Amino acid sequence: MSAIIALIVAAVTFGTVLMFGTLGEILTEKSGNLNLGVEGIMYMGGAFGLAGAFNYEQAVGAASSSGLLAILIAIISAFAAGAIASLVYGFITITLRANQNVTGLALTIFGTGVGQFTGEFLRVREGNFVALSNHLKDSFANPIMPKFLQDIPILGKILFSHSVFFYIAVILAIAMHLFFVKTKKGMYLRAVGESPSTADAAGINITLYKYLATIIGGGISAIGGMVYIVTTAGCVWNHAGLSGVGWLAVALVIFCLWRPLNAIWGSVLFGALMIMYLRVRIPFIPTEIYKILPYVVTVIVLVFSSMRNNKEKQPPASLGANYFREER
Amino acid sequence: MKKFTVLLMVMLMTVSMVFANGTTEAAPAKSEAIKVGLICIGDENDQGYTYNFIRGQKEATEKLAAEGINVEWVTKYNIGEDSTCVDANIEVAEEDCKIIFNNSYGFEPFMLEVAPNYPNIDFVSCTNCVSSHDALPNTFNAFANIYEGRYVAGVVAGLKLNQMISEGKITADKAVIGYVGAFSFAEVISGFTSYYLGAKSVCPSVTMKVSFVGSWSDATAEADAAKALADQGCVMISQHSDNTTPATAAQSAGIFHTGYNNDMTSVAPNASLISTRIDWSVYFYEFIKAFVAGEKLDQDWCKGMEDDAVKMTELNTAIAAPGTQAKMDQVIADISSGKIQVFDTSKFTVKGATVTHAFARDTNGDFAADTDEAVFDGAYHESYFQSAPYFTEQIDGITWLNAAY
Amino acid sequence: MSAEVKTPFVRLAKRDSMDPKKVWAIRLSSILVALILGMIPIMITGQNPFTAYGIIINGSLGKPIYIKQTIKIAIPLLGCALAIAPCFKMRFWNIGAEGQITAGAIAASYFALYWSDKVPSFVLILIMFVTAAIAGGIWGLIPAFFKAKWNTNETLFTLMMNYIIIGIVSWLQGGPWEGRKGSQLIPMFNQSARLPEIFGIHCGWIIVLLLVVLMHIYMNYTKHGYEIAVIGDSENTARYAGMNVGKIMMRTMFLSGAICGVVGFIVVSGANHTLNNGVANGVGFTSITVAWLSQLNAFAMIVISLILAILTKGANTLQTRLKVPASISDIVTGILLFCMLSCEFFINYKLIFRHGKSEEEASK
Repeated sequence: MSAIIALIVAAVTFGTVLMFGTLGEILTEKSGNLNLGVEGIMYMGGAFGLAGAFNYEQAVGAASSSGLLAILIAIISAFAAGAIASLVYGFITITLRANQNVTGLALTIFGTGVGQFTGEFLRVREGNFVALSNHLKDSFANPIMPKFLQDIPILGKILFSHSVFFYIAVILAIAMHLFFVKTKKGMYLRAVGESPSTADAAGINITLYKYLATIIGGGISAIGGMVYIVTTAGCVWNHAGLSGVGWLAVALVIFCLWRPLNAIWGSVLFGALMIMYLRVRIPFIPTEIYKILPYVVTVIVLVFSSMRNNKEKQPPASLGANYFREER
Repeated sequence: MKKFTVLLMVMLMTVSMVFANGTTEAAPAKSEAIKVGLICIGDENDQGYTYNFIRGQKEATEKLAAEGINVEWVTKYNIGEDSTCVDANIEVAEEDCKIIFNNSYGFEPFMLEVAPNYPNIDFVSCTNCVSSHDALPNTFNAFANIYEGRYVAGVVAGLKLNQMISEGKITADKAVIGYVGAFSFAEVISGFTSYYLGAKSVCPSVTMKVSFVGSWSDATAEADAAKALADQGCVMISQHSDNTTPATAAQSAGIFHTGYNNDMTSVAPNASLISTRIDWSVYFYEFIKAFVAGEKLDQDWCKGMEDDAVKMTELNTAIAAPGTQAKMDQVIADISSGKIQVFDTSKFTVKGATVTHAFARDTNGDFAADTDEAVFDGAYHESYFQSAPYFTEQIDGITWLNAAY
Repeated sequence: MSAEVKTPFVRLAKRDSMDPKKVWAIRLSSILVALILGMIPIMITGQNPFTAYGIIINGSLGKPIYIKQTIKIAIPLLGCALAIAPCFKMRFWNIGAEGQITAGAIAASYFALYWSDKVPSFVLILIMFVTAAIAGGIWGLIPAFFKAKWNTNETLFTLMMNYIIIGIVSWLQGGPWEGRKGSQLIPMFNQSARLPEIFGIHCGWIIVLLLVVLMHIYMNYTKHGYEIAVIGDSENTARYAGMNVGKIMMRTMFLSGAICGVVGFIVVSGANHTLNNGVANGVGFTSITVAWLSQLNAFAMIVISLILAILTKGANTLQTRLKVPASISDIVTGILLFCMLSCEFFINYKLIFRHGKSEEEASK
């Protein structure tokens, strides 16, 4: 039992990273834009988030740096980086109508480059490794819930022993869910993704919705990259640490069937699958094979949902296709 | 359209300037300095393995400069253990480097693809074992007796465990060390075995669990592995991997840690007791100095604590057990003098039996050791026949959690 | 430029045709714009961008060995872009080239590792070639089958397939094919399993150049190529015309996967001489952009893949000489892709401003 709890707690750490990545991409895809640049966006988020916190600490000095402010700065820098990257993507695909897949891949190449460049440049500039002070690290990674909640048997560990980012992500998931099902704007957004021509005819400003969803979605995904760097990677820039994380987030979007609430448990499950090889041994199954399980599961979900052709469980109908009003 | 043409013209001019500039700038910079290449698997940001090499690089440069030898380094960072390593070696060779150091184990096969084409350049593969006895005179291997340092770190850990036992924090049978290893191969096995033997020499009840992460440098996996070990009851973490995340993980789990490559007390002041590191400046210095003098070092180089090639970082006295420093100094002196044999066969067993025989080197290329008896004079002689470690026994008291790597 | 395309101030109209000279002028200028934008990150590092570009050119083309290295990078990019072309023409978004390369590499590596002493070199290489093509083809066929049968989203399916096969290589590396125990390295291939060199570069360059010609013929002068083009225009039209769309999809994807598989073979046998999980190394993704930017034109792909290879190789030298992080090549490549993707808009559409004056110089 305690081993399972420990696995869940550890899975949440990596799951939080995925949750941000996935939530952002869900928002983007709901508008009909398949942004394959998440990988690059998360790299940029990681590098800029770290750079933001690092520069802040250098500016005020390690002694007087405030954890809360550092968290805010990291979130804002990461969000801004992701939003700007997605703005470029949005401009090229929405306004200039270029192919989404290709533009997304270009963004992945660009974003990975920018992330690694920034991380490496910081090191060259400092002439040494880039590290945050220990108390900032603690404020990023340590549990924020009061001790008595953490001490509740079983549930305390599972629910209350996480970093601040986990709770932000959960709140975000719930908010996004409510936005989609309860608000008019959320409904409009889904309409844009499902059938842009109908939405257009109904007088919805498609371009605006697509832009906003893409930009905000990209910003949220980027926060995931930052969370990885400041929690799992120990506030150190890691050259290849984020490789594959963005793609895993894209997989998770499918696994969650484009529903934000599913992302909460889905990301923890994926997080668990990625680290399970260190904790659980299944005879005859090589541990390296564990790491492909998230993708295998995703493929199965994808295939089954297409077989059953259940409209509720499909990708947004116009996903990946650009909207040309003139060609309606 | 006119504007467009003008713009295009301007751009073309810009580009032609680029080309013109390129040809003039290509001339080599300094004349007297000897150019040396260093190809790294990571960069200083790991605060571990590659950082340790860069430190060695800087210190060697200073030492050599004091003797009037100017070294100009060409350093490649974040190179993969694949054909990009071939490219990096060619790249550096074409920059007129006279010596090229490859810092990762997995670089060697790729380095050896390039070496025959540049007979006047010396290629060094740190930590691997083929270059020293292949047919090429310009390829080298180097390593240091890091197992000595790990043994000392083990002693420090053992003393801390003793303190925890005597203070009643744990019972003697709960003295479990968790070890984050990269791969289950000789260099790592030799490392954690010596560490374990060091701990056992002062704390007889100690046992150890080893988790392999399957990568030299994967910050996430290393952190997760350390966390998993802590969750399984380990109260002391050590590592053979490149990053500092095991230290961070140990600190947040409220247990202790000893490190590798770099003083990790700055990262985890409440957890990290001490680290051991190879001082690569010793080798760099000797190699470059010999090269400039027109000599060559032995193709297989290995030195230990007595030559300062293996060092301990400063002890974290705030958390180490009382009396650790004194005990440590004594152990270091005994290792240097040969009084302590780290792999003393009377101190460990394999499946209940004493080890009496093991081969050290592989000569026929099937990756199984077949020559040079390593066990004699009551000890397993590690790094005696070649610099790269070859100890692969799975001794009693150490549990391998996942041997797939 | 603003996002206000939909305001009445400007209106869009699709262009029927454009003077080819002008088309190339726009494309060329987009490359120049990209190079100018690429100066920004270089200047951030405090280097002179002209010097930096000079080094990029010098480091990629300045010496025969540099040219060889550059071509070595371009070979898989070009080969894979050729593989992508028929799929994208059909509007089947195969982003699984990465995995198909890997599948081919695995098959080739198996024979390289275990058959090298059983058959003569020439036969061995032929076997590796054929099995790699089959393996890559099968890996591409799987998503196509589900697409044809149940209309499963192929973009996402092919994407997932990449990571599955890469995970399998990781397992082979640490398991059955491992060399020195615990090293996680598969041994280097014997000489007999390596592609021979012609003019100092492994002969993969001849294979891909042959493929360029074959693909050009296939796409433009065969019935298959015609069918692909029709499906790409409209799946419904194809159906009305009596084409078996599912079958054509599967056939095309097998072909595409097979070519990717051959690229995998070329990479392991010609360049790496061993297998590891990074064998595809992003080529599968980059080549998609190569194919698209070339307008799926086989000959244009040669140019684009060379440009990207020059950037990659040159940026390596840039890192060596000026300590500018080598990831600058990804940034400049990204900017280049963005600019070239954007410029197509100005080729396909014209902006009509409110005053009725048609503005042709859209590229500013």
